[in-house]
Amino acid sequence: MSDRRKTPGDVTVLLREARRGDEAALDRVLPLIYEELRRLAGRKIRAEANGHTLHATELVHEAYLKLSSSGRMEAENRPHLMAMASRAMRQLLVDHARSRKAQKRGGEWKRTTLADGPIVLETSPEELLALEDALSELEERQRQVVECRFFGGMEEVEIAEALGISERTVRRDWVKARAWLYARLYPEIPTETP
Amino acid sequence: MEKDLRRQVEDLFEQVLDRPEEEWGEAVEELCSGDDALATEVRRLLSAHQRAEGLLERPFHLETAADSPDQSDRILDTKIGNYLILQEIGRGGMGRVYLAERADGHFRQRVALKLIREADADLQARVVAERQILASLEHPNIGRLLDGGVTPDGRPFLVMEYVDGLPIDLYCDRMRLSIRERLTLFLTVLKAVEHAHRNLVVHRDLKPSNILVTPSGEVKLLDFGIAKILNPNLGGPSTPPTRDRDRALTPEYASPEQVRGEAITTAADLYSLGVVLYEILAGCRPFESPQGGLPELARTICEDDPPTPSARLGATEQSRTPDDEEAGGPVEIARARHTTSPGLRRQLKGDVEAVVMKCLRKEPVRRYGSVELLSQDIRHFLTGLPVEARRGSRWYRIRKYAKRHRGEAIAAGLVTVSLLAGAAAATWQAQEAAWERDRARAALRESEEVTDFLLGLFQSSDPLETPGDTVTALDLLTRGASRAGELRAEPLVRARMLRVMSRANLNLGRYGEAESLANQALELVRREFGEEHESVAEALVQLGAAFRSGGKYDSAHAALDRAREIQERVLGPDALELSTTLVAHAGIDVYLGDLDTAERRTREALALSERHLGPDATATLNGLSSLASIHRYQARYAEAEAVFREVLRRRRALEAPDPVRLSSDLLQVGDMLVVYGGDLDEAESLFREALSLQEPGTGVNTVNRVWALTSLSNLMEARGDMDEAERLRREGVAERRRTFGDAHPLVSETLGSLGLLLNRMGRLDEAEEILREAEAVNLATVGSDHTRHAGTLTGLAEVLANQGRLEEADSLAFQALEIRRRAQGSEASIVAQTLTILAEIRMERGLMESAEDLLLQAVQISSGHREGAPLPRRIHRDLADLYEGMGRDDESAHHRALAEIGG
Repeated sequence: MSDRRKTPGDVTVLLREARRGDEAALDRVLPLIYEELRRLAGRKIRAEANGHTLHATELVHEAYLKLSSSGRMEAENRPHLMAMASRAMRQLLVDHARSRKAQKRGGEWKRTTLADGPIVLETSPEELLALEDALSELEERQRQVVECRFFGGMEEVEIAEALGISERTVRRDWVKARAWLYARLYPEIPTETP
Repeated sequence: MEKDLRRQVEDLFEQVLDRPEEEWGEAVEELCSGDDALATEVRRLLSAHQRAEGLLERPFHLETAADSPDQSDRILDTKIGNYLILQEIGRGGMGRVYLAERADGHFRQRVALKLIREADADLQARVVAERQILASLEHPNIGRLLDGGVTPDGRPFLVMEYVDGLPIDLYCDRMRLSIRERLTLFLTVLKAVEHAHRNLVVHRDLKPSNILVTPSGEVKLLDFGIAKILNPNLGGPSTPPTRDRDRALTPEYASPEQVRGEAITTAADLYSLGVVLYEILAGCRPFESPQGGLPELARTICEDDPPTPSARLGATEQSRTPDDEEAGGPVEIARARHTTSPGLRRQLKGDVEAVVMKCLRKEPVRRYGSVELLSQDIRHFLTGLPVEARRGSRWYRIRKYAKRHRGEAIAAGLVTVSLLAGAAAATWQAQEAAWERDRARAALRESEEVTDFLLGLFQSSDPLETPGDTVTALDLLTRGASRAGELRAEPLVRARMLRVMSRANLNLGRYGEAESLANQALELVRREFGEEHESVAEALVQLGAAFRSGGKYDSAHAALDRAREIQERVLGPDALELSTTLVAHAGIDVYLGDLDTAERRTREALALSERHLGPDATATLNGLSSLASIHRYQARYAEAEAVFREVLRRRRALEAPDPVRLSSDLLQVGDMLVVYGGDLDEAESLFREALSLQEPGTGVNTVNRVWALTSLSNLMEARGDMDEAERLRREGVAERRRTFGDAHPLVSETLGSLGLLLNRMGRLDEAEEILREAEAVNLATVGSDHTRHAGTLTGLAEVLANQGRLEEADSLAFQALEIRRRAQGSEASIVAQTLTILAEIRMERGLMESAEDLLLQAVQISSGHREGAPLPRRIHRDLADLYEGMGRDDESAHHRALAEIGG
């Protein structure tokens, strides 16, 4: 919370550096995006209590617009930033699911991460955490494709641009990732396990 | 799995995927070449792939559930009473609600624990009240109250059944319920509210988050936290709620009276239920949360008419943004209801929407009378029966229909209005006008005589060259009246002069003066000759005419009866003189709606004049013409037209027909053609001929000239030439004003007919203005008890009704009814017609019982009419519509059949 008042200009710089391969810059930009998303989600939840549907896509787009509007963000940065936001979104949801689970177990009161209020997830916290486990086993690029597509609601063409691969590769990665995830999430399908 | 192995499996997986599916087994064998472990992994991935279709396909989204809890709350994991607090699950006006668990070791039970924010005495009292209320509300669809108490720090708490469910709107969307399924589910909600209302409990904060549906589809109403106790006995020690606290409500679902802090009844719940239903069905609430925040929302709720769900959906679709595909846009909303967005609008339009909108009326009394009635209407809709909520609009359609019906007979203007009203019932002054015409025609002729008479008598040097010069005529009459007493002429001459002056005054619209002069004449001859004298009868006939013009119909009747008695005794039962009395008397019969008697008297008069004067005599032709008029009022149109044509034929055959009478005959035949759908071209040539017979300056016939102008106007209206129709009527007004000055009943008559034309043209403001002018003239001349005034009021009522000013219209039509009942008796046809007009206004106002009562009275009165006459048809049509709206189908069909006779 303390550093969430970073200016979007900072984000631009950090992002540029991150693209040049500066891991430290990436580490610094992600929390900014994360915080922006959290703030957006929280505000929306407060404004639209009672069963409003919040779409990750919306949030990611808005976070992107917010971060890029006052900064001199080049157009080429858009897919990249969107991919970042998608990752932040994933992180945010996983954190939220963890805190919800903790509450359900009757644990100590803790702020939910995503928003300052109860939300109904279409995907349950358990499902979300299982998905997170399954994602961690995926190859990096497949995981990125899933992030962009599922958590960020990005189009194939945007994903291709963000990740610097062809659209065909995006599709192939998606098919492979989805099969792996399914196999991991629903292992009871009949087959001779090795 | 090893990274290498994983990559190997993926490679093979992709290669197999490139092959047709039926070859996959073969391909795996082939590609893995004996490596069973590898083959197993590839098969596993392929199998997953086949089932993974759709996994994570839709980008992630989440939904907010309730108000956010305060993060600083430290109550979790502590114990309140015997309950362990697990999690905050909600927050209301009075405090917070926690998920808790019974922790006294007896049994594990999840509960909702409501902790009151502050420990103030008022709240505590309210909690006590709430416990009592909730304890009295045992219902499967209402969350039960289990326990209650006070925390060590003095905060009251309530323990309620914990409901693990979704807010109803979310549930419906999640389950993708159709509109019918949503309505059916809503019926269960209504059952619970019904139960509460029967126990005199108003919820006062109904909203989706208080209406939960469990995964098994069970509905539970929560939180009667701000319920007001209608029965003070249930209230116990509770203090009356303060206004501020009352307004601690959810504004989006609050009724106008709640927003204003007024008295709350079950109608407030009906309103909130309406908002919830609106939202469940349309996916949005009737009012947007506005930019201006709460004050603006409050104003909107109190003042603005909510758009209908279909209108709102339509508007959303119009202003669609790219996001709408997903984020609560019309496409998504429709999809969640198993339909498309045009399909959804179609489903909502009509009955469903009417039901919702009836709940959302600003005035509590205009909503459903009870939750049961709302339930019933929804059930009616679900079973295909007509809904109560659309009655209002049925009235509207009836009104529309009545309007259209009036339009069909548009040609008639003055005459039509009377005929639409049926038989003898002259709306306006239709047949009053006919009467007026006959009388005024006679009077004007007499005024020539009186001119001669007075000229001769007074040796006036001022010849009356311009009959229309009323100032001169009036001066002369005034001079004559003032000097009549001084005259030492023969009593018979003086009596005659008084009668003639009486007529002239009638002609000038000075009815009181006319009556006074006729009375003077009567007194004079009675004094001079006693009761049994011909001249007494003559004076009585004149007095009858004055009474009639003055709206004193009973007196007119009595005077004419007396005149006839005298004539029969003095002159014998077959005297020609009787015919004048009979014709005058028939006119009053017509006016009072007794058409059979009118016909009988007219036929008697006709027989007398034929016997004494022959078939072509003026008196005979006049009698025939009167008979034809009566046939017209009797709805015997073919006979009427035939007789009018016969009169015209005979008149034309005369050597030197009187141009005034000839023009009357021409106009009568032409009017029949226009009003009853005859040849308009023939009618026009008849009207033109009539007009040519009385160009200004060719005679004294201003009355027939205006008649001709009005008839031509009707004809133009029938042809759709409204501008010309209006011009002709305005010319009629001008003509009358030239002749009679501004303040004359005959001027108000033309104004009235102009006003009604403007009404039919939809120029309602102008129509009102003109009719108000007519009203002013009437009030200044004939007074507020006169039927002319009633006629103007009826016309004004129609205009106001068309303007939507129903209450004013109602009041005017009612005044008209009162005047007519007093003046014409409650059995007159015109009363039936006024009853019908009032009933139509009441129907439009939704006052069904009253409308029914009025129409049944009208039926009673008009029962003497021939079947198929316009007035009875109109009454039956109204009754049919009325009963249809009330769901009384048999009665509706009965009246519908009667309405169609003669149609």
